[in-house]
Amino acid sequence: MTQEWNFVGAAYGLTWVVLAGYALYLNGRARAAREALRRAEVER
Amino acid sequence: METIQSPAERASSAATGTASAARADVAAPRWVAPLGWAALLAFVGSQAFGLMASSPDRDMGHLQKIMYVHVPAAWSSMIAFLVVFVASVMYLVKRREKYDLVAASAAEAGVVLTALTLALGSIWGRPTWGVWWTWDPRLTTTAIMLMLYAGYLALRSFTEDPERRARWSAAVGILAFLNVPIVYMSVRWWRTLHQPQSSPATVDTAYAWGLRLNAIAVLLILVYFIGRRYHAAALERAAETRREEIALNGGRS
Repeated sequence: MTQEWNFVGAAYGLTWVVLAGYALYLNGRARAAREALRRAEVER
Repeated sequence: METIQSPAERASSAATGTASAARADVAAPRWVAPLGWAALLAFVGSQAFGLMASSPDRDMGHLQKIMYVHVPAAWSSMIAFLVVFVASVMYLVKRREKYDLVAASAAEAGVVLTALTLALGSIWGRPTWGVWWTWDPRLTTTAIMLMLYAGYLALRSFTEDPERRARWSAAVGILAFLNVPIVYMSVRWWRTLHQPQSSPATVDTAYAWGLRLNAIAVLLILVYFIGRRYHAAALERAAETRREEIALNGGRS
């Protein structure tokens, strides 16, 4: 019973880590791209 | 909303220095942020429902609850690769850069979800089958699918010329999709360890709503990921175009 919940907890925990991690990565990537665009605009 | 040029327009505008589309406002689509919050709420709600409302399975016990994350992740990854296929075909027909960016965005989200699917299946397999991994046809074809789309992303990162990158990626995006129906049908064609496809129609009615709600939540997350990734890619492409303009015009706009 407890061991079953350990596996269930691991599965749900991993899901949250992966999905939240990827969402944060995407936001960071968009922020970096916006900054690169702003710098290119300033150069011009 | 952003405006994305076709490769021909891009080359033409860079050469003449006009680049009107490249100067267009590259703002995030308005629906992305609200969709992200809606997806988060749906995900929290559907997981709570799945965990609390479903009784333990007669054979699997509480391990059955892993189905609520494993199966929706698998479905959404296949939907992502269908988007890659359709966008790749559209790119080759229309030669509009936006289709290339949609395909790339969906491929990346699909790879994340496929990797998650395999990891979750492994966590379920250890207590159920007694092994973390086995060369079962479903597992093997899914691993091949992951490798194919990881290769697609690697190809994109190694190819600098945007037009060549888009063309080659579209060809790979179409060819790689041939494996997706094989993954789906593998449990029927080669009946080995992995059980047949789970769906609200095939699982016990006690689990059907949990599966439906979680599938909808993960689908919303997938659409959010594609939208967010597309926006980041559009910003990167706009910055790249402006740097090209600067290089071609010696700093004059």
